[in-house]
Amino acid sequence: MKDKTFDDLTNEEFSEVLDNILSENFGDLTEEQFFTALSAIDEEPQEDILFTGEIRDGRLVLDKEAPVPVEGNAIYWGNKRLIIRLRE
Amino acid sequence: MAFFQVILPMSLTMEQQIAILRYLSGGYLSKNEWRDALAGFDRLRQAKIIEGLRERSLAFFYREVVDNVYASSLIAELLESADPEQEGKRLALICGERIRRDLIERGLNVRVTEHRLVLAYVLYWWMSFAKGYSLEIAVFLDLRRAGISFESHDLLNPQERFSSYDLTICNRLGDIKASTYFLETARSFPLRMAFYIVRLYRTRVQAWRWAVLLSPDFWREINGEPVHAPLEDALLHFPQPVYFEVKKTPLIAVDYAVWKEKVRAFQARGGNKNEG
Repeated sequence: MKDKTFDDLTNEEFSEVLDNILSENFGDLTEEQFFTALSAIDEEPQEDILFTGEIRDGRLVLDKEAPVPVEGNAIYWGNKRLIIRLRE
Repeated sequence: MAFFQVILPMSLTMEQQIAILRYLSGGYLSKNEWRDALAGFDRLRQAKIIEGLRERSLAFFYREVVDNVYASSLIAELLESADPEQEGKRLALICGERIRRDLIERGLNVRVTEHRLVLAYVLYWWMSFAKGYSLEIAVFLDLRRAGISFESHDLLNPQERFSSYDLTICNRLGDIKASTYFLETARSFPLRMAFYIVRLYRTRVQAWRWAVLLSPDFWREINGEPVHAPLEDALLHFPQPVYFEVKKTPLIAVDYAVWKEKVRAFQARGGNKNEG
């Protein structure tokens, strides 16, 4: 699959990719891959992610048009929910 | 079947798509490819899904179509299991196949490139989720069996499931992450938890190792000084306790069994047992 794009794949090849994801050992990182990924993260530049919103009835309400799911004053990030409370 | 359209973000580059495909195909990624794959997944989450008259981000689509439907029942079954890691693998695959069928029935077309990315992402995130919670529940069981005093969040309560930490040991907040989930977390440095329990595969001996990444002050409290090494040499010392920095954040990596023994000894000496 080296240097192939999703567009290059035949239906059979794409089906094999899905089969690989839906296999017992998918995503299991080796120690070497884990530390390589950590090094990549270490060198990554900081990226800004912008959320906008307004105050309604004294509460922050984030705009739905956001890079990750939001609901009122909560931001869903992976398996976490970040809640922003404003002080009176 | 409703009209189904996917609009990929302009910022998702071809290099990122190639790195994502390489990762999903089980390929070994270089440092640059990791950077592309992780940034690519971030951008892919922002793809727009238009289904009939409704438009959602891919992240929100995942939440409604997969998480809300499958997550709680998977966790409930894992909590009943005596071997959550094995059971988690079995259930992840069964639900994964169901999700694959569901999405195609909803209108995803595997001949369309943008649809392929969505289908692959949804299955990738589902498998990461299932493995993450299988490990979390397995660690809770193991800590209980080892007599370690800890408090955990209630996974069956959706509010608590999304809490910012998974457990408290010695009054320190910690997270349990299957390795891919940890990498997602690790990109938002500085890390907020005092410790992270992860699972890594040892190719040479073809076996798993549970490991702990923790803050130096937690390690000092339960043990003493580790070996200091630059990040690129950390693996040479691991699983001996090794100190390194990621994005200027100091971390200790140590074998889970060693860490658990140190915590148990610390608590036996009267060290903090989460009394508040």
